[in-house]
Amino acid sequence: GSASAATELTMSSWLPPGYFLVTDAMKPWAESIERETQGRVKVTILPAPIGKPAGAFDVAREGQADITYGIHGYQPGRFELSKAVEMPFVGDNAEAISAAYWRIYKKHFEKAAEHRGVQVLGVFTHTPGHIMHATRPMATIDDLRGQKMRVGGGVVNDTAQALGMSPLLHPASEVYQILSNGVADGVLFTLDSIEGFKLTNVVKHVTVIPGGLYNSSFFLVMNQAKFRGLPKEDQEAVMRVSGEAFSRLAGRAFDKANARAMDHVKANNIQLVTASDTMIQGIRERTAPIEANWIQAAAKKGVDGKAVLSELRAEISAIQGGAK
Amino acid sequence: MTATLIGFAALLVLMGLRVPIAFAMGLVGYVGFGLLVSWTAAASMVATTAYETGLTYSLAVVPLFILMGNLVTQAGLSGELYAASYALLGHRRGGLAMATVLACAGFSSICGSSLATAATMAKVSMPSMRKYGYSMELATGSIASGGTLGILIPPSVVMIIYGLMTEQDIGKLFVAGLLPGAVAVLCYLGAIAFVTWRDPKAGPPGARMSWPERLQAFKGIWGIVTLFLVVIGGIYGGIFTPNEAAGIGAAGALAFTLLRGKMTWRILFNVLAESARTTAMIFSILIGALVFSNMINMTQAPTVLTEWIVAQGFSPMLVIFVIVGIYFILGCLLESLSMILLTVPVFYPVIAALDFGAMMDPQLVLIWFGIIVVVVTEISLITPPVGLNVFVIRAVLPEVTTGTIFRGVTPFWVADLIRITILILVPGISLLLPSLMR
Amino acid sequence: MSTGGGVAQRMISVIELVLRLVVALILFGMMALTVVDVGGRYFFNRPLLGAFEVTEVLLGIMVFCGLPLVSISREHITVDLLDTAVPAALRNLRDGIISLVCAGAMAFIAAHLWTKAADAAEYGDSTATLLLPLAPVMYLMSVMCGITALILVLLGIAEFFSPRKPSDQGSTLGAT
Ligand code: NA
Ligand code: NA
Repeated sequence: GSASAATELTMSSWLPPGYFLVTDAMKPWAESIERETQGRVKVTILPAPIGKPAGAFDVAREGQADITYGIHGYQPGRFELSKAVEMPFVGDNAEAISAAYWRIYKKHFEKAAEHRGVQVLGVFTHTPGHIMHATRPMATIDDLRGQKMRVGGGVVNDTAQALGMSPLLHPASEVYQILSNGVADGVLFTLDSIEGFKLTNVVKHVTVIPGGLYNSSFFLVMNQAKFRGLPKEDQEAVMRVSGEAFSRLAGRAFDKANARAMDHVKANNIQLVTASDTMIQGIRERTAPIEANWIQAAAKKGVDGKAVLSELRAEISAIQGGAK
Repeated sequence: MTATLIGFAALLVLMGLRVPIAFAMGLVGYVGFGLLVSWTAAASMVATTAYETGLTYSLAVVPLFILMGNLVTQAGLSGELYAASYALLGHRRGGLAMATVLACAGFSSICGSSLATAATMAKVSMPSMRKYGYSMELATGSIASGGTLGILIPPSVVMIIYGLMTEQDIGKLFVAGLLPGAVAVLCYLGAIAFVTWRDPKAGPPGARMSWPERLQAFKGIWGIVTLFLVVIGGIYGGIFTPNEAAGIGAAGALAFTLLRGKMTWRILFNVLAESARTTAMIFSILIGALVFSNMINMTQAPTVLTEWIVAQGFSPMLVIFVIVGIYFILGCLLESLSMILLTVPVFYPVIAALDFGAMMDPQLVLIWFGIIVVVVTEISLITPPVGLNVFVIRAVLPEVTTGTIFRGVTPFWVADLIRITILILVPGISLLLPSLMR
Repeated sequence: MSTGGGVAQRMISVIELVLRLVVALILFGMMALTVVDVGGRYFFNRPLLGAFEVTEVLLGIMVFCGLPLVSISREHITVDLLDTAVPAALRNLRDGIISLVCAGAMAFIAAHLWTKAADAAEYGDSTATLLLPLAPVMYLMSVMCGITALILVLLGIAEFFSPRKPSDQGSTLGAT
């Protein structure tokens, strides 16, 4: 062993350093790498990100930084299979979804090689996305018709359209502005975003969709050549704290933030309603074609989408009902 | 840290050899990144940076505000601005120079560039100052210094770029520039009063206008006032995003030139093409600087510097004054835009890590620092040997020597020192308006 | 100048005119798009879907189509602090060499943008709402960098043969 020279891996992180996903998932994970390899591998988070969030995947693939994380939906056209976890009603617990997602990824998606040129260290999701409105409660499916809603792109864009909303695509940092000046009527967002993007004054009503109206698929990846360049024992050590372990960690960070966000919503008098069974039924019917389309797209990649979706759901409820 | 210093040294050498700044920064950034990471990664980084910077939504404000400024210049509104300022102050001792500063401030409120402000106002204000026998020093000094307000009073290209680099709200930065802009005008008027008190012959009073004449002069500036209110008022009131305000402002300026019959197809074509070309030039510098700062990022110098400063336990004010001192020195030597692009990525994490306690809202620290950075940039435009505003005036008035202009800006330079001290010690001047924006 | 120089000069003029037209139209389009978007929102409660993405793509195209123009008009900002220290005869040589070095840099960027464009085409990269394909945009950027490189080569060669011009303080009024 070379005790002296530790391998230093750089990580490009585009979220603010104090953001919970960085403090509760990325940093602890980076530290666990150093621990698990007994200091032979060290992960350093760079002072500033390289490039924009949408290009994060390529930053690692091309070796500009060794490790990055990002959102699959930021690069539409590249990642079809990851949309499996972005469908409506995937689940309420981000840790369970993320753990199940990792298992499904290993079992069914990895062979389709959508993540070329990188070592995938984790796939995960945030907590469910709900419907937020600046002025009116959205209690029925008809309330949604014609509402200008900011969405983040990907499946949620299709979901919004299927429900008669007109989706607006603006950067997340502009949500406050477009809600306060009426450019958008509402936003499809996670609860933690209310505080994260300082929306406390502009979001008046939240309609909670049990299981979520949408979700977002994230990746944590490492440059492939760099990973393969590590000694076997270090590769194994890295994967011991990555994969499902990391996916769970990231999901847990989102769950914690979601719990804090729930308190924040209540403390700030934001009206919270849970979608009625009729509304949920309506959403289910109208978004069914999205699922059907995805199953077709997955077939082209040699994946049995229908089976995978039910396996994913079963896995999520098993994990959620089980130990955790 | 050593790598960072070598990088900066290499950059200065290349600039000294007259390699265009954009290329000098890009070359050093590429080579440094190649040495620190790998050559293939460096090549990808350069291509990615070029592509991503080109496709940055928040930068779409740059060409639109440049277009607005160029259209307003085309409409000949600068003459009316000067006339209105003259009506207000022209009859006082040094009044024509004071009117120049005021007209510069007015022009700044619709133009995002200091150089354009200085160039435009030079053509308008010089003839009357000449007519009344103003000293060349005071005349050119007031134009060169007044012109620097272009980037402090919103809109401002420099603020847009600072906001992009530090992820600060451009609207808040714009609004933050308003009161410091007023302070600047007062300081400059004070400098002119001082110069003409020492030497009354430097700035004899102009003719006093009658009240009807004054009213007439003020009627001429309704267009500028309207544009300013729509653009900055719209941003302040949350009606427009800065992007939208820029587009509306440009369209408004176009409507204005059409109304005044100053527009032909050929002029429109030229104004559009030249605004776009200037945008491309700014983007080339921006891309070069981002490539360079990606290299600095790899050296992790900002983290090292921040940790060192925090470990020393220096007081935040000391750190600010040291940084401002560094800017003074750099500002003498460097072109202003590249100075900001090179230094802000290193300094802003340091500022963000400082604890100013009750002095200001921690959320607004980087807005305040943005104003400080803009003011030191203004100063850099008039300090020798590289003072771009001075060069611009020299280009417009070839018969005046560079030395005369540099002598002329000296009192204004002193006023700037007083101003920046005030702005550092009283953050409220910069932060009052943005804090009211919610 | 030889006929070769004349042809090069004419070629540059044509490129310049075409690109000026392109960038002027794009900038006008960006302005009009904002007005329509904002107007639609306030007066008809109907903003344009994806105006954001179109603006980004237009900006990217405009900037890269503008790069050759910046070189043609020698608008790149330089620091001429030591200019007086360099003998006039050497200045031509120096400026010629620098122009060729910059041409090399632009050609390098052109090549790597081309690779990136090929990657994007293979992945089918597109914008998020309107699904505008991004590969053509990158190919165009690459071609524009190539044209800029070519222009810089021509300007660099011309530098070696032309008599010293009076000091050219670039007009850079929009910058700061
Ligand atoms: Na301005
Ligand atoms: Na200077």
